[in-house]
Formats: sequence, C-alpha cells, structure tokens
Amino acid sequence: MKEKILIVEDTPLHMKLMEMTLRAQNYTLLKATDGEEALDIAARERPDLILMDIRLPKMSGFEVAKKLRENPALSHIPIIAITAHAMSGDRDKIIASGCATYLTKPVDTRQLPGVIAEMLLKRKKETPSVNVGSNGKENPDN
Amino acid sequence: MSHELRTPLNVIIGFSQLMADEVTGKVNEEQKQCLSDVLDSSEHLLELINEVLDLSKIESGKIELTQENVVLTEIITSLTRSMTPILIQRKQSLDVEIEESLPPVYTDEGKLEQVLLNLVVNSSKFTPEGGKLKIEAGSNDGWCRVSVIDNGIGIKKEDQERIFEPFCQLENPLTKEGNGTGLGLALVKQIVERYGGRIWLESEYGKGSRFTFILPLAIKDIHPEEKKRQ
Repeated sequence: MKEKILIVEDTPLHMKLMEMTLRAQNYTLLKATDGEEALDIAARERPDLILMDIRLPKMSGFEVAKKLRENPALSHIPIIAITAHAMSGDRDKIIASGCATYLTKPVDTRQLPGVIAEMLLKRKKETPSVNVGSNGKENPDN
Repeated sequence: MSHELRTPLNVIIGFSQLMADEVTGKVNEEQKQCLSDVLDSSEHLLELINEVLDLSKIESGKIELTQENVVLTEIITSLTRSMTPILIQRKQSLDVEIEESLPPVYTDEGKLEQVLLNLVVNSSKFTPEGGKLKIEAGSNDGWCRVSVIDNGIGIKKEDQERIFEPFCQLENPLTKEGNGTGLGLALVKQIVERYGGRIWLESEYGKGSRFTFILPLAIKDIHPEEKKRQ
C-alpha cells in the first residue's frame, strides 16, 4: 500500500511545489491549507508522515504538532516542520512541540524526497506494525 | 522583510529545479540551458537580496555591535586559504606583510573577515591573469591600518569617488563571467565606518589600486580581562 503524506501549507504555489517535488515518489498525497484542516485530515486518514509549514493561518504549526502529540491515536506520526526562521530559539520550540525534524526555507527540492524517505524508513523500523482497521480503531498492541 | 523577499524566489528556484531535473517531463538541450540560466540568475538575485538586507541592517543601525579582540593574522591566514582556488585559476599571487607583534583589533571577527574578503575578491577581479595582490597590515597611534593592493587595471579619477556607492559597477574588461552585485564595496565601507573606522582608495588608471582601511586597536584600559587573554 502506498504511504500517505499530509502536506500542510497555506500558500497555493508552495503547495504545488511540494506536490510536484513528491509526485515522482509514489506516495498518496493529502493536502491541508490550515491547522484545523490538518488535524481533521490527520484524524480521518492517519497519514504516515506530515510535512507542515509552521506559519499557518488560524492555528500555528506548533499548536497543530502539540494537539497531534496529545492524541494517542496520532502521536506516532512523524512531523517534518518547515520554517522560514533559522533562529535557534525557533529550533528549540519546534522540537519541543513534538516535530521530528525541521527544514528551513527554501526547501531544496532535490533534497526533500531523501529526507522523507529516510524518515519513513526510520519510523517503520521503530514501530513494526501499526495497523489501523477500516473502522478507524487502533490495533490493541499500539 | 527577509521572508517576504525570499519567498517568491524560493518558488522560482524550486520550479526551475523541478523542470531542469525533468520531474515535469522531458526537456531538450536548449530548454535545459534556459533553465540553468534561470537558476543562475535566481541565485545571483538571492545573493543580492542577502547583501541588500545586510546593508540596510547596518545602515539602519539594527545590527548588534559585537566587538572583541581580533587577531588579524589568523583572519588573513584563513582568507588566503579560501582564496587559493581563485588565485590559482587566475594565476595571481597574494603576498602578505603584517607588522610584527601587531596588537589585536577591537571589532567583530566575522565582519572584518567579510571586509577583507570583499576587498581581495574585488582586487583579484580587476587584475589581469598573472597579476600581483598584496595585503599589508600595520599599526599607528591606536589604529590598525590594512591595505589591499593590486597591480591591476586601476580606477579612473572620475570613478574613484563613486566606487563605494551601492550598485556602482565599473566596467571590467577582464571578465566575461557574471558581474558581482555592485554592493561589495558599499558593504565594506558601511561596516568599517560602523566599527569606528575609515576607508579610502588610491589608484592610478592602468597601474593598480590600493584600498586602505583603519580600525581601532584594542584598548587595554576598557577591556582588561580580554586583553589579558591575548
């Protein structure tokens, strides 16, 4: 089964750029344009990975990450944060909010597919089986 | 500000890369060349944006002045190392003459490095293949004086006054490669003056140029602890 990646990005052009960057990689791509939508889609679709711009309307990426972490059904999903600020304070805040890693803008389109593949592989090794039934309920051993 | 300027450029660079990498489909040789030109220009623009932002930060007084005792010899050593590939390519020599036991300079190390690098790169660019470059450093009356000298094409009298103005780019008959940003020397002047120094130019057209700047030496009375460490 194809792995699902949720892209959270409010700027249409950036969204398109991400989509095209990952198009050749055989993932199912899901899209959200704000934090609330991201939480809805994450709960419904259970993506394997979330790629999220930190600067979002309504709810910041930090809050989205925290909310995902608080939900046991979603807390295992790795988040790659994308930030325009390369400040060290932000870095700490991003990691503290529960993101697995972060990339700074401009995101190198030649680098991104590798970062995602590596993260998915690492996650697979750490959690051998996370099966979610069609009714959306979790596997008891999770 | 930096976010607003860089974001559209990221989109341009991103899509051009995707097309050049044929993610969007096959491209022929001519199209590939066009895309590579778009990427080159975008990177040049990114460099410009970074330098304009640097410049405006200094001009508006928004940079934090970090001053410490800086040993010039170390900076010059690392500078000559990073310049080596360019110098070999242009068959130019770079001599260094530093006054013995030159006291440390009271300034920002990274900024001083940037000043020197911009000056040496500039001199090298306006000096023909096989030419000679030289860095001289000495002290005088509480000031450190550094000169970057070349035997290149020199600068006409009428151009000498505007050489430190932003976007002043003099014609360079020596290079066909893309010009710089036209901000290098403007940035140099701003930095030197921000750190309490002065910069000037002596040049004779056809014979070469000498850029000289002065910066205050470390004052022992004000910073006794730092001085002790030297």
